[in-house]
Amino acid sequence: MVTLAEIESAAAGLSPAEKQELMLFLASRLRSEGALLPEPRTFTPEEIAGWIAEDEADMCRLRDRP
Amino acid sequence: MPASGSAVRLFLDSSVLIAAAASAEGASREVVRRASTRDWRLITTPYAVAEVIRNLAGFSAPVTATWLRLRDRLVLVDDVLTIDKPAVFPVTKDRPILFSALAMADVLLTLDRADFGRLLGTRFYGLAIMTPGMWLMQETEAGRE
Repeated sequence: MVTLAEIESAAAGLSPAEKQELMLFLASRLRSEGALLPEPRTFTPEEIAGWIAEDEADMCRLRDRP
Repeated sequence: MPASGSAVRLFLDSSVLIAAAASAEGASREVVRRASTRDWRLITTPYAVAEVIRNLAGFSAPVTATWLRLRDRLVLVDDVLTIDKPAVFPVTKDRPILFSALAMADVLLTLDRADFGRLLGTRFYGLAIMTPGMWLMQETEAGRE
């Protein structure tokens, strides 16, 4: 049993208690995998320039408010 | 938002910190400037700081110097990597930022529309998510500026 479809089919045949146990197992695995801190992101110069342009435009709008 | 009279905890993500360091004319720098005279606590995490350092490498020395001064005004809190609430959208890349802000702040300030665009102007389990400009405008319209 290696494909997701096969696993889902097998899971469908479990009792409600077994399904709950499976769900808790998966939640536990997801949580532990999610606990790994990802690498800090590298942004492109275009992204950063876009942030700065939006930030400055927002400040202009604030200053120009009546 | 906190109860009236207590400090507002603003979480600044790396996009806001980079913009604040790189430009004196933007809303991000203005938030930092005004925080010293308002009851705003500026919060970030080691993960966000690592992103700033990585991405400021290509900037000039004055920008780095500004960042170092700015960093002294930040309250550094631990990264939070998991929460006990379901996140009903993909949060892979921005998870450390979103979850840390949720745990530690009242407002998440970000300019990162690639990762947070769908959340800007909304709330995530009570956490307001907005750009620095939106935050300043909200404070102005509420008569607090």
